[in-house]
Amino acid sequence: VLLLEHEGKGVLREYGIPVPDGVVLSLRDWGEAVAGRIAAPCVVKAQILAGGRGKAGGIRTVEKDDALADEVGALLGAEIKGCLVEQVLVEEKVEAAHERYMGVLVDGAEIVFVMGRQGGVEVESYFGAGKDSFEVVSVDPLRGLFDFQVRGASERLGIPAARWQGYVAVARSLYRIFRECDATLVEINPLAECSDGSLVALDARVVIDDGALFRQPRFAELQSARSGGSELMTRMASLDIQYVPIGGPVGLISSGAGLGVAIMDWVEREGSSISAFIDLDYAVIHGNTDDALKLVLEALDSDPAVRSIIVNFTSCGLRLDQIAGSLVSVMRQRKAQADKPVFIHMQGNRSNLAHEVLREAGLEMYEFLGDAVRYAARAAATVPA
Amino acid sequence: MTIFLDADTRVVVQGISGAMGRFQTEEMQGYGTRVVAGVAPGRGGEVISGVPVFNTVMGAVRETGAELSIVFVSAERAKDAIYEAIDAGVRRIVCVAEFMPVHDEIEIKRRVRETDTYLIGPNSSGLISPGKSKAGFYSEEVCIPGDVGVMSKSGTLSYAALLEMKRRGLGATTVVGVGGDEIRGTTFRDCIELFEADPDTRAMLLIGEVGGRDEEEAAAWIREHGSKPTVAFISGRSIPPGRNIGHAGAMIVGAKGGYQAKVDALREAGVAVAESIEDIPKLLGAQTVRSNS
Repeated sequence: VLLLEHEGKGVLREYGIPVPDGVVLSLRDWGEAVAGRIAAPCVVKAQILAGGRGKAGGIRTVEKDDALADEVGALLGAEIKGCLVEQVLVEEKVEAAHERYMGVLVDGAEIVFVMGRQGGVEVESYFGAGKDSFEVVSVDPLRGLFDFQVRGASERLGIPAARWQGYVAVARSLYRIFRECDATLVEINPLAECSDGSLVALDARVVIDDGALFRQPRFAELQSARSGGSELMTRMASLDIQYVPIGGPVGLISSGAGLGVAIMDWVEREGSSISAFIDLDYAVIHGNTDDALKLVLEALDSDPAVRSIIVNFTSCGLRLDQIAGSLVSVMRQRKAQADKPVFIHMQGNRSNLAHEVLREAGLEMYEFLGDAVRYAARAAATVPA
Repeated sequence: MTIFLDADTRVVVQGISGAMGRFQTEEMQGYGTRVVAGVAPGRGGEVISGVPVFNTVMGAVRETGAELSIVFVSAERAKDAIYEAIDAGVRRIVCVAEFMPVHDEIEIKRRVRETDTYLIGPNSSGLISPGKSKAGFYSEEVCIPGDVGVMSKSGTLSYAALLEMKRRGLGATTVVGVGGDEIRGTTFRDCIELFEADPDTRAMLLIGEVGGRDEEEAAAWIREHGSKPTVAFISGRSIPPGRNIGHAGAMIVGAKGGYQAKVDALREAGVAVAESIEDIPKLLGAQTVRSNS
């Protein structure tokens, strides 16, 4: 789960990291809420999950009080980097003497603490250019981040000794958030160093590990409130179907994340692309095979952009004969007008039995996965929409 | 020879009383795996599918001399199970759990390093030494004995690749499912070192995926030390940077983990990179012939 800026700043504040005074306004209730709450000069920031919103016009500085309502009104409801702005954060403007970068993240199998002389830079750049202006410190997960490591990084970045204790305090809190919240990234970019030496987090980017939500109830709640999405996506999720819309003309119903991605690549090599990444592995494991096959086939049949469909199960763990049985009954219930060609490939555990089931039902299937992929891509190119 | 697992390897199943543990125990027995013990806390003294059950891994190791553990507990409890196996002296552990918390994986990885343990996974499809033994999901339908050492981040993709090989008479010494998370115990590089040292392995197949740096690290090792013909296939070239589709580890972050960098590194190390899984047997065949001549 990636937190919105104001959600991330809420976490920082709880752990004692200073953030600017601010107020969150949403599309529904912003009206008079602005007046008197925050005085200019202030900053109006679109609360969206996309990065790079500053350059895209998602951050506006307001110098005079009477201009605030206009800026809030202009930003709320606007579309920035493909995201609808449903909330804005209005904050006091902080005068920074220096802007720094500070973050704790997972790099490979390691925890690293990163400090940058200048903020506002993408942290990814520390893997490539700009290496000299970043300090990357490896942290032992069992011993944690030491103060001396933060002082050392500060010294190497040329930060005066009188300021080190402030950075140590922020770094300690940042590391505690990282560990206690099961974060994979906690980043302050930029971290303002004011002329009096105080430090203020001007932005916050926090990613919580989805695999740890079972022990992070507050973030689990946040995610379930957020993943409203479309009705189709909710139904897919309720049957444990992994579903990621892509937008191409080839429908792909597959099982197993790795092979699904390889087929997605393969369809592209054949000059086409898949409509969505659909993985039924967990749906089958959890006993939802019939419902899941029915739902995804209906979704692909009713999507006018989809022109052909690949069904692939290459599996060792799953009972392919049972899946074939489900597929036969779902195909029989398919609406008569659904005439999109379906290319079936099944290999692995009890595939001989599966092939018999399909053959008896008169369903054609392909011996080679490559043939199913090629024919589906070709059909998608030639069948009129 | 094989790596990690052969016909004599004594296997303990952690979580043998669960539905998956019990089913997979029977699958392994059917294949010929020497399952000597199961572990299920509170169920010690029982017998499940003909296998004696112990309360602790320590007890199982003491009584049966188990050498390799396969862990069939949920991702939430996998850290505890893996620490327990390591504490009991087990140095080969297979973990199939998917969605294990990243922080647990980081701690486990540290423990694995300091104890010289081979942890296969997490999110692994398991191990199989065809014709001899298996610990995990691989089955005889997809692979036959042969002379190729196979390692893969993805289970299903390796099944598809092994099927392509099988159709052309190519088989494996051992297949290692290294796991699809960003963090894994045993890496491609570890597998390659072992396959290099195994006299029965004449060629290697590496099935990678975008994300992380394991393929680049494997390429660097091959460049310095590799002597056996190696073929690679990398999936995920159509995943847009920053998006996560499929495995948790299959994510391109900034300049890191992209398709082309992996392919370039492997090619520079002399590895033949297959554009499609259909090309894998041809490349393996051609290379195996060349190495024999």
